Amino acid sequence: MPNPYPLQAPAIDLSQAPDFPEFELQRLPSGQVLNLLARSQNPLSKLSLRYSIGPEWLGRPYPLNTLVQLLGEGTEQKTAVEWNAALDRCGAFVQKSVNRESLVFSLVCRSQNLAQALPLFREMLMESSLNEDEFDMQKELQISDFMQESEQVSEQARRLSSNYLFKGHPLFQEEQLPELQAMNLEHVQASYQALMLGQMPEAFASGIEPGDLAPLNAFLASLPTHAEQETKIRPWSIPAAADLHFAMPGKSQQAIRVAGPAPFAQMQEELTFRFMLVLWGGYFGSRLMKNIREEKGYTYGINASYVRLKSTAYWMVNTQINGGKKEETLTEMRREAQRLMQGDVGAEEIETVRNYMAGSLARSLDGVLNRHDRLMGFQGLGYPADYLPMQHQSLFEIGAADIQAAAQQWINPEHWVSASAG
Amino acid sequence: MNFPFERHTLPNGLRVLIQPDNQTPMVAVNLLYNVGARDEDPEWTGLAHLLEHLMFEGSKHIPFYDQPLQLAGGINNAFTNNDITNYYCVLPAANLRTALWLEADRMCNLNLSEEKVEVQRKVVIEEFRQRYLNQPYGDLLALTRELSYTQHPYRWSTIGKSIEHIEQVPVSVIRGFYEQHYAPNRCILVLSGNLDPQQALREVEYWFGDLPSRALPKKPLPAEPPQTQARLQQVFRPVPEAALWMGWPMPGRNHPDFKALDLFSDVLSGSAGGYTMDELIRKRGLLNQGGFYVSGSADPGQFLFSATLREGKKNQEVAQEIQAFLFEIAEERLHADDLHRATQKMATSNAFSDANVQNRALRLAMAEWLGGAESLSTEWDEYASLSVADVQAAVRRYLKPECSSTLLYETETNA
Repeated sequence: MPNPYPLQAPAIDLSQAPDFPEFELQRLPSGQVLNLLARSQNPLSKLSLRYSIGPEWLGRPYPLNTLVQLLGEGTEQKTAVEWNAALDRCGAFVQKSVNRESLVFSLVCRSQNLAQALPLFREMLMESSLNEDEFDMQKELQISDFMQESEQVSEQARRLSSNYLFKGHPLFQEEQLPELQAMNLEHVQASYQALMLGQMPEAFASGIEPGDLAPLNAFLASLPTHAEQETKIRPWSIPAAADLHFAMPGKSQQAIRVAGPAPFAQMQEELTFRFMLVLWGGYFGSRLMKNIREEKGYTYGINASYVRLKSTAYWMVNTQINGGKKEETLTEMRREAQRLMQGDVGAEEIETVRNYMAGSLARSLDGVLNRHDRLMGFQGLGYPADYLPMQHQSLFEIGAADIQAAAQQWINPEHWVSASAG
Repeated sequence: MNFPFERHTLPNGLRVLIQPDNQTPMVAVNLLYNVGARDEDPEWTGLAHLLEHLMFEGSKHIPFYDQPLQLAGGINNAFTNNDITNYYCVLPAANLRTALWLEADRMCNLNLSEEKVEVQRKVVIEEFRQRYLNQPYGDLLALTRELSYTQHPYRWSTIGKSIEHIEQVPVSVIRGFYEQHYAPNRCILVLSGNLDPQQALREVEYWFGDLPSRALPKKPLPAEPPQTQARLQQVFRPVPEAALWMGWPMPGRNHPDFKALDLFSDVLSGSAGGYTMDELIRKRGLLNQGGFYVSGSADPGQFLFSATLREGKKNQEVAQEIQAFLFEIAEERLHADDLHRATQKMATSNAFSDANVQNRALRLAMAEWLGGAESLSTEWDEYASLSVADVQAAVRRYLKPECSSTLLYETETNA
């Protein structure tokens, strides 16, 4: 006899908070502070260095993007091929990224190869040659990428939205083709000198064996010891609501991007805002996904997200829709925002979002690389060491009135900047 | 892979792999179904992928798939390719039972209503537009498949040959496809994460043990005839840069020569120090970006090259240079150190993939589907044991000019 299939879901259990790891701080004689996570079952090590982008270089994405690309493309001792080949022999990768406030370089390799890979990593950071030929090639590739991206409706909507919303604020400066074309090698060399040769980076290491601490400490001691001063950035002046459009004839879909400012200063306010945003459009079961994709079929996907920096934050909703459904889509987005502003949210929906977010928090701690990135990100935003358990606990305290207040304050459609392309 | 696993097969044919890891708070539940776009009727392409969407639209006993999983703190997603359809959930380990309850019901009791089918047709059509019609180079994949395959169903993409197929496929055909391909004996279930193997197996037996297996009259897929003449196609499109695509037939994943060609593609393009970056991009200045890779399909697939060209370069001339380049590297420049470097990176990439439960569960499921998950503990050694002569022999055998297919994807300004 088959089991009678139960209609009710099995009982769920989210009572146990995950085991929240913390970086252990180690201060070196050189003044360097190493944030260290112990070894795990996985045989990988990851070492990340974060360099602040000081006031002189904020809002200049062209030389910084090019600098990041050029590192590893030849050093004072090795050609690009020789350096990369040596890195390959260690089975190592270098991940590089430029975000709005910092440059981050991470060395990832199997723990057994860390000591061998560290001198190569140092060579890339401190002895890159930044030569003319490599620069010319990188510049050409960046222009090529820019042109390719310009053909995409989503990219044009993004640029339109950012240029209006941030109006040249240094933290959000967008790449523009004329400035990219005018960039020269001297700009890149100057940024290298200022940001990397003259600055002590923050260091984060995970999956390190006790025996590997000595070479790691020697590596860090060989980096500059001058700490960058905290950057004061002028406040972002939030512009009036607008409805913008970039015409791209012949496209069968339109991209829509709706955006606005978001809270960042207080942790609880930020968490409540994020909760509201997830409920509105931030996960597969969100209001916007259910309404616009699952009920009406206007889009393949619609997503609300949130960019959080040290000194400011903004939210956005992105989607690509059937070309004829722009007004209908915007109407539904507004309707869902207004429902939240009116307090139309039930206990079951709140419970679902809370549990989903609690699960996501636990998932972000799965594996040494996730833990490393998550903790490093929190530290960069200035969160306290016990942020994770506090966040977990706070999730269970958010109620309907909090969500309504957050919606009224932050996603009122009267204040949206809406950009479309297509 | 450093993580031991257990394998069990239920009486209804469901294969179950359980891989415990007490260092994570999560568990991944991965179900790989042995059905992909290659199993579709040429008159109704895109069906496997459309069905993947419909699998989230509720089942007989559970009206909404996503909500109970989200309530249990989980996420889920799926993908379809030409060979398989794969579903996964990742959720806090204490709630494993919720995922099994959901997956068991939709394995055999999917609710395929007209209304839900109509909405998902629209969603998939928007996906078609977003990824393939409204993107620069969006039709490149479809063109290359039609050029590379004349008989085998790999000749169409997972999304389907046309929007009309998705718009018009009858619900009865969708239902028939589901009933033919979704069954415990067509599935591999992998559980990876913080679990007790014995308890997890009991749960699997409880939820899946009574599901009926289905007779599977598997019709043989048409084999692709050997290619003996080079193929060439030229198209003009409104794109900023010309693109070049080339393909050469090569064996499927389980063939002894697969690894040699896979490794060769890594040597060429798997690193910024590889020959593609050094020669084709940096020294010869032919490409803006691009490289070599393998399709990695179960049935015989393709060794591939895809790139956008530097301004002023002639597509057909670059294609000839690429063909010569392959043999120049293999015959004159390939060195044991190249293979060593590629395998070292592969070892790190594998460890990278194994660093979270979701990827690990997928890797186990794929390896099991291809012949046995034990291969994960030996495959790196097989790559590392390949010699320069092995790679050269494979290049000579498969990458001949007369076996190539070439797509010249030109800018309209060059028309």
